[in-house]
Amino acid sequence: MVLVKGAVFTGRITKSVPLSLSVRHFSLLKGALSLLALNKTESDSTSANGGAGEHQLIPWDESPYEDLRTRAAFIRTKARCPTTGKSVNYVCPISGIPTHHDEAAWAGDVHYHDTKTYDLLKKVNLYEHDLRSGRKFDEFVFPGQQEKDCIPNMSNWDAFFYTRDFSPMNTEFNLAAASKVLTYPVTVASVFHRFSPYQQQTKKHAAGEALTLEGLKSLAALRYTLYPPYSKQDESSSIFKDRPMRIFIVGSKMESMLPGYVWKQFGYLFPETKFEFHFIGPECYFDPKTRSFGSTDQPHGRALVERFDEQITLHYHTQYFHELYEMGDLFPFDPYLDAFFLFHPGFATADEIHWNESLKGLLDSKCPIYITGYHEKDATREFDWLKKHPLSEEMDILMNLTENFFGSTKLDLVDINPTETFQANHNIFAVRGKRYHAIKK
Amino acid sequence: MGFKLSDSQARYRDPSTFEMSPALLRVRAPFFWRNTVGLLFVAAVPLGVYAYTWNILTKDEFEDIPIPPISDAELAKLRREYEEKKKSGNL
Repeated sequence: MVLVKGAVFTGRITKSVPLSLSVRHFSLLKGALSLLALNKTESDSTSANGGAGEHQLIPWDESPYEDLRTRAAFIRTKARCPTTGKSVNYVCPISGIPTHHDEAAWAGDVHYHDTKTYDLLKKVNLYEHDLRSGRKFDEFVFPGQQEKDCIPNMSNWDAFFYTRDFSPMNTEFNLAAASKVLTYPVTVASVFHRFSPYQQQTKKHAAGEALTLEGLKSLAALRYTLYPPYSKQDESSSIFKDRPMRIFIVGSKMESMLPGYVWKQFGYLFPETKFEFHFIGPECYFDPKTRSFGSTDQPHGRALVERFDEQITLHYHTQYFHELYEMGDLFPFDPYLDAFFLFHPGFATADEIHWNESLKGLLDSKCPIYITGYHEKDATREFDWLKKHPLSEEMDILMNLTENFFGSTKLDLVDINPTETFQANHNIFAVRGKRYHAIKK
Repeated sequence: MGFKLSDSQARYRDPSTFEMSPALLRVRAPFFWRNTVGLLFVAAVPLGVYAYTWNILTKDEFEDIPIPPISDAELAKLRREYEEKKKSGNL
């Protein structure tokens, strides 16, 4: 994973030089025709050859990149064959990833072949090699400020990239690399934005109905801060922004490694507001010197603050949330100015004891808590854990479980169960501590 | 060619042929059919007006405009006057 990040951020930052072609086509007609054929061919080509193009399939065992060979070896030692339960010793010939005990087990795995899991695994393989290939990563040439007259379209990745003036994501490899990084800031933005794809009672998409009335109330409060009601543009107008908006990312790991300019892409969508991103959790700080996750070594448990610019500051708290909550440094919480994001928290894992403690504080704050999952099953597991929790009585559901429009499109696999694939932030839902209405006497 | 694309358009299109890139096609795909129907509606208005006018005008024989009857003698007189005028060079 570290190497992936390295590949991502050391990608050469150069403007793409347009290819000049000598042949001229009747572009409009051709464009219109290919547009007609697009919906049909898109699904065919992606499932048939993985949209591979010149991308060559290399088995992980024979990969030129050492970390992929190590990963294949790790799968062989730790993973169990899904049918026989024995060790993994057979490389799937379609995906190039060790998946089963032997050829008989591979051929006999009906579920594996029926669900075409091998196509997903093949994509995993191609994506991993693509990220290490050292090609020119134009997708990481990020755009600057949004022009005032141009509204970004938040309905999906393609529309977002186009209206925000990113480099064109022509292949799925471009899209995978860009969305893997941008899914964190843009997922937050897509929830908050006034043209969010999660609206109440939009019949266009099933996800349109995910937002509940309580969810709308919480978003209305946050949008009151992000889009203050009209008043003359002077100092006294910003009564509500007496401090920056805080976005708490609890239990963060990968997302806290993102540098400031990735979070600045979030800032460009809300240019009027200042933001503090608080990364909370023992693995939230990646020390570039020791190349490991660890404590920030700040005195008295203070946060390490990295100021990116006027608008964006990043705060790293290497304690658990409940420890931080008891210290009281983050008080007061304000539902107009604060929100929590838990990117794949893993409630029911070894950290359950900490989540049990933290949940009380999270719900006490009365701020919205958005939670994402790696795939539908994972997100359902998280949701069920919350529903069965003793504190579930104290909880309002803000958003039902739904697919995230801005999930990462890069597929990855679970090393200890290589036939299970996942995508970061694939599903999203939200809860909040119950708020009680004032009662007239 | 004098025509130049804006910066963002230039990146989403082939610089010499202006062909749309796959990314731009994906962006436009959800709007394609509704835009096409819209185009048909908008185009139908002027085309309909034109077709209707053409239809009406070609049918019109102008039979409702009265042409005054002229006798042969009067016609001969008018022709004579015309010839005289032509000779005197007044025409």
